[in-house]
Amino acid sequence: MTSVLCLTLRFLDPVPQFHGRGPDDNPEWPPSPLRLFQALVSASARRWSEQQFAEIATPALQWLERIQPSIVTPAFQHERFGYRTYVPNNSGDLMTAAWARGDTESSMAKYRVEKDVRPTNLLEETIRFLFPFEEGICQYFDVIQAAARSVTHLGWGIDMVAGNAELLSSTEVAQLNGEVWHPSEGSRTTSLRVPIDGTLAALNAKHRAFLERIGPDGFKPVPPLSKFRIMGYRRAMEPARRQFAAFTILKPDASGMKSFDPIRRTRDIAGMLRHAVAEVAHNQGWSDERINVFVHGKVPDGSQPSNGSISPDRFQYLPLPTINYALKRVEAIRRVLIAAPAHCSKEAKWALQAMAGTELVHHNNVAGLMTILPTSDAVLRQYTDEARTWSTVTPVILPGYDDPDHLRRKLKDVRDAETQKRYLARLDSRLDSLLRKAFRQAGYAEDLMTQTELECRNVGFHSGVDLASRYLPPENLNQSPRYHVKIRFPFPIRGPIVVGSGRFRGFGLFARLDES
Amino acid sequence: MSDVSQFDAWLTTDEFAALVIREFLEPVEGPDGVLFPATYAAAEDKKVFPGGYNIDPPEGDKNICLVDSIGSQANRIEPMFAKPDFAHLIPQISVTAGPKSISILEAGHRAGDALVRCTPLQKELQDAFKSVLKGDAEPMAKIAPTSLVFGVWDSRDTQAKLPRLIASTIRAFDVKRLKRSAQYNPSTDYIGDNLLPETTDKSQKDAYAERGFVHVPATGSHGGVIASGGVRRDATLSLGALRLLSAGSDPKKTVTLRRYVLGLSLVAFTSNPATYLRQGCNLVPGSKPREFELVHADGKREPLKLTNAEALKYATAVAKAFGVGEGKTVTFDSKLASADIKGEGDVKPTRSRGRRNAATADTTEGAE
Repeated sequence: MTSVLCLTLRFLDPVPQFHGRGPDDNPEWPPSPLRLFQALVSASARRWSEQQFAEIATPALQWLERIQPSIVTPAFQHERFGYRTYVPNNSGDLMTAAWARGDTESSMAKYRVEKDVRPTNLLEETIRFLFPFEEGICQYFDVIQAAARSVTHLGWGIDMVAGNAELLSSTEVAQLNGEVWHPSEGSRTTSLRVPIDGTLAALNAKHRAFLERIGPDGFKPVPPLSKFRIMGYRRAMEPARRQFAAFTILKPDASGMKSFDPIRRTRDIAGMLRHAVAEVAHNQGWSDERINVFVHGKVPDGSQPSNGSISPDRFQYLPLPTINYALKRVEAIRRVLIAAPAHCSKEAKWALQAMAGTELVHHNNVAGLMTILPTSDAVLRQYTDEARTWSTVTPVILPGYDDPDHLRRKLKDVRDAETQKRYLARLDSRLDSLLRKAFRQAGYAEDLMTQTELECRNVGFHSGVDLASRYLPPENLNQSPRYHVKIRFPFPIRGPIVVGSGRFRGFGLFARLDES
Repeated sequence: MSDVSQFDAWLTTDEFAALVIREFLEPVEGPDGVLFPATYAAAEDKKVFPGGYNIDPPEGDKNICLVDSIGSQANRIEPMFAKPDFAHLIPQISVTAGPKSISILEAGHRAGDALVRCTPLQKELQDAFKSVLKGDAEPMAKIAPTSLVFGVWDSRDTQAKLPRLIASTIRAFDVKRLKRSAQYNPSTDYIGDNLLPETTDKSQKDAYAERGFVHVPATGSHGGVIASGGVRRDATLSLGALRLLSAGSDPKKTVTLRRYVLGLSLVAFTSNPATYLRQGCNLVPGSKPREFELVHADGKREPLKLTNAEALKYATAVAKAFGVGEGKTVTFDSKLASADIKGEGDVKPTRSRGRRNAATADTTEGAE
């Protein structure tokens, strides 16, 4: 049974490029549903005369403007390289003005203006917009198909496309190739303009106002289109962004920032922070069960830790080593982050308000004082901004033993090169599967991980981090192998990124890695 | 006699989306010869583009280099309709201004250009644009048919906008960038021979260099590229855009109009425009035959064979059936220009098109 109306736009250029820009004048990707809607309205208006447009196209477009589509896009080159060209930009008036003055030598070449071009290079030609409908019948299919087949451009005038519409079943939708983008209220990874109820009427009014902008009473400015909304879109395989509250650790007398050694004190600060959160939560009336689960990460009665791989919603306590941007070096811990799952914004807000001014206590001594850290802080942004390549500042503690068959021990006695090679390959494979498991447990989709490059070793990838083996892990994870990891995602991902068995206590924390 | 109805299925049903040509080119020197792509100025942010050849990505062996853009190709193709073999297909309209004569085919904005608006054709063109807005492109086809083929926007008056039907681009693949250095030697040692006074003043030294009185080295300038992945012209004819043209509500006239515009488009589309693009960039068809495909709306592709001679034959027949508009030579009218300027005021070149409100962005944002 069909359940999705699929509008397909194929770029006709064999080297497909998209030049459209968003409201901030930066390249827009994926093309927004409002852009598609405007293209459909424009095509319909050209295809059908005014009366026909009102009778045939309007009901279909009004139906369409109320549905938020998912988008399936081809992969694209994330790095965009622009260039500047010079074009005749309605400057024939200047040339004719010169001619009117008798200067017939004046030519258009004198009046060209610069135009910066920053195309998005697509690796394939097809973009699809998927409109779900529930009744099982798409009553406007014929009209929308005709309108879609009349769409000639999407983006700039040089972005020629061929449009089409078809009805697909959910099985067929699942088989579509490309990156799937879903509307997402919670995490505004990519903001796109989408039509809403009334957008068609607003576009019609704007068009009329534009045609009538010069009248007997002079020039009437045309107001910009305002009947649309900005909506967050997120790739289906992209992890939802964690909520967080960030703090600076001050000295107990607030005379300056307090520093801690990340190698020996990461686990201590995480512990102090968890203790402080539990105390404040208790004082503010949280139930013991909720504190056990959300704050301590235990089962509701607090008798044992909850299973790490299927743990319920809970806080993560992340000491943040300072990243000295000038020296490109990882230094002491001076900040902390309390992170929560993407849908737990209420708890993250609570943490931000409740923990400001709280003391961190270690063995009955005040070790530091927490103050709110603005999200614009340059160090914080090394952990929370968007990037494709990340590497650890504290080692990832693997969710399993990386050498269950004791191959490393056996390798010492093996002299045969083929066997050595085989053993090493098995070790690499085991390590790789454990790392991917760590990411899956932290909420990263299987599809995403299959497109991701991973590298791990004992030595860090950031300058200033120590050997992974030297970091003091939480005591119950003392025997678990740990490695520094570098990861390159197929597209930019927002932080914070923290994986592995120590991810609730500051281990396996990643910072952006500047590839240049 | 060409069958004027042979392509009617493309003109009347939504099944067909476009025609696409891939033409494999090579420098006249041979496939491994050096060619000189277009150079571009640096972008506002020089980190984005420092200027020079448009090679994307700028580093590495796998890349695409823009040799000739869509706008540039359109400007090279359109004047072919003034050549003797094709001139009979369209009305030849020229504007004279003093000793100068400019064909409408050379005007930057075609029928929407201020040049033709400031002639006795003003009213006729305005009416043609108004007809376009009412769904009748026939008057435009009678006066400026290439505006229907290459697109036009009457941005200064009626706001009628017609999308381009043809887009053509030349690109080189997997290019290796070359540099060259040169040394300018003056004919004689002007300073050593006491023909000019010696100076330590920098501005004076610069003036000597600028005027060619001293030795001037030039190092590391653009030296062309070698394209190991070949050079290709990709051209597209959008049948979907062509089907949006109509002659009011008369279906018979509409088909005749579409046939005429298709004829012109096919001639332009199948032609091999100027091989000499610029100094050092003389490209001719290579040994690999061109690929020609008909693309269906559902993405299916089928090979097609159509030569430029066959396209010309078809275009001639359908032009005759349509009735080509009358050619004219009109004079640029300074009074009309003054009135035109007063009508909307003088326009300063905008420095950035990006400042426009994004919500007003249409589906065709750019101009060539």
